[in-house]
Amino acid sequence: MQTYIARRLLAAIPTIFGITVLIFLAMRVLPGDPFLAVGGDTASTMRMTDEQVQQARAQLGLDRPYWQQYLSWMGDIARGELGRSFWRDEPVRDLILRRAPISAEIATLAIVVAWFVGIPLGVLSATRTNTVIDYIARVFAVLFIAIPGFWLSILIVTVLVLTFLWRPPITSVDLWVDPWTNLQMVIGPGLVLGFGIAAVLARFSRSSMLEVLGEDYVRTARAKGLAARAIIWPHALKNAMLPTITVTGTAIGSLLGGAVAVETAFSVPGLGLTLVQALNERDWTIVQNLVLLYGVLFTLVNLLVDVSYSWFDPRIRYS
Amino acid sequence: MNAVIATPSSPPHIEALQTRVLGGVLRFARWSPLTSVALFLLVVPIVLAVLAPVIAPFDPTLNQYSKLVQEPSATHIMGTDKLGRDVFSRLLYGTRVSLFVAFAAVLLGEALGFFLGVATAYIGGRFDLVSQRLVDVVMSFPTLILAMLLMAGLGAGIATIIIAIAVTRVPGSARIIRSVALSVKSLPYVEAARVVGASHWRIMLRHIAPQCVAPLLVVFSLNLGAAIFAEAALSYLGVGVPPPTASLGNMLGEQNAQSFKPPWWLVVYPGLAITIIILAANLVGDSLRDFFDPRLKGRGMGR
Repeated sequence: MQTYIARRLLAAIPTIFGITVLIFLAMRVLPGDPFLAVGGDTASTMRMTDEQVQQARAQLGLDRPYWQQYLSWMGDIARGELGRSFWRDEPVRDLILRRAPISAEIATLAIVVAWFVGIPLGVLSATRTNTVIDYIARVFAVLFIAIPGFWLSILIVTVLVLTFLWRPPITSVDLWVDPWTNLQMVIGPGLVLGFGIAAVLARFSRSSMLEVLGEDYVRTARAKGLAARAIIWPHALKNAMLPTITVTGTAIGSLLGGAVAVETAFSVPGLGLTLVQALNERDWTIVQNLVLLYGVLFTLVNLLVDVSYSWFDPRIRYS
Repeated sequence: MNAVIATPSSPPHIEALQTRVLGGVLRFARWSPLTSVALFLLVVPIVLAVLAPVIAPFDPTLNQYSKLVQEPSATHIMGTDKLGRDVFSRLLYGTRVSLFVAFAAVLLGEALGFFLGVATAYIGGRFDLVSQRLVDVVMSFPTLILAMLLMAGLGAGIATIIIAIAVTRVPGSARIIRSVALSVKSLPYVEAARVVGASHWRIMLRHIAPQCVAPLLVVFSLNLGAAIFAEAALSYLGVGVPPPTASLGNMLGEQNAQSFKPPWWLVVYPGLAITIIILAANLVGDSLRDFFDPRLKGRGMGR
């Protein structure tokens, strides 16, 4: 098991290196110039003179050769500094540390909701095929996979404002300082994202449960007279959970991406909203480091999924 | 690729594939009424989008400052927005732009994935290894984040959003095609072609590629749903289709969630349109896959 984990960790290193290169190429080499939109004729929000643009470029080190820029970025990361935000004049590290907790809370809430809604729904649906419950579960799954989370969020905010004249608080409060205000902020995004993943989970756990229920050992258990409950939970569910783990992994990918739009819709100041603001302000130091964070997180999640998968199914370790 | 299939001189196995697909489509229509409804839901927005210039009662970018943020009425059946533009007309043109972006992105992304998949499977060796690691890197970004990164590099615009979404569709398609092409590559008739002395290009394009078209058609619809979602999210976040051009996503972005009395009609209609298109595309895609590849039956797709 240890050697397997070590092997997987080693394999992740070139991937993360590739991620940094891809981000760097996208930010520096692709034709869009961060300062074209600020200076020059196409200026939209702010105008800078040519000299100011030159100065800013020099300040950010954009006038150096690409390889130097890349190495200095790697150096920043190695020192744990991540550079300074261009407009906010604040270390990007501090910004991320300040805004990450609320995103982490939302993600945790979403995954808990997804598991506690999605899996039971999938199991119920599989054990009672073609009943009302099955029908409801399937409609739920199809619907929530299709509805964009951010639209649902806008809709919820709109309805809350129109009917109760209430909107979620928009200034960040830590969980341990004021749990009630904090809860009001995370509950909306958490539920919306959670139901989105729950729909995918319900669907997958239904199909994998159906598959397992058709296996020989389930038939044997039934033939020797075990109660339905004794078959479903210990025999079938354990084995049906395997594909569900993989799905949770991919779902976290859509969670990380989807949270960006959902946080924006609820105006929750998490990492997602930070990324959107940075993109619109063209604060490239923030953008490249945040995207790197998302890439590394997702890589680690996939790693975790693979490892836990091999823990549940030892056959995988040896292949 | 279609031209290759339709050539009368096509080898027999391709004709067999052709009749299989055609017959399949016919049986498919009778097979599932739900799918028919989904197809209908997908075709209606497409028709409306194509006919937008004929149907739309107003110019979608016409500002009428005497009619700012009006509720739905007889003249403006879906109301007007903050610049006094007719929401119904914008919805029609927005659907047009969103569908165009999604179709173009999926076509481009699947085409790139197709060639990458066939090439890596056929050439193999170090080229395959390097391409696989590259695909791994691209896949280790959440799709929406990757698209946002590319939009940051390329700048907002219709062409750039098509490229950004297309790139997110490449790895998945390449993986599917690579596995199909690998199995086709080892079939006796490919070996026969090599023995007869066919060039590598000829083997790849005439003998392997045609066999790989079907799997891509099957996932086309699912990719379309994902692309519609991506366009909507990117444009909503302000890094997609730039205003004043309407798209389903940026129509949602223009309404300001901070206002004290948000106009519900600016929220409900574009979102409903997005949801219906994604729903229909997913349903059609699921049935297509169940039909052509029963092994995958019931495996849903996440975004």
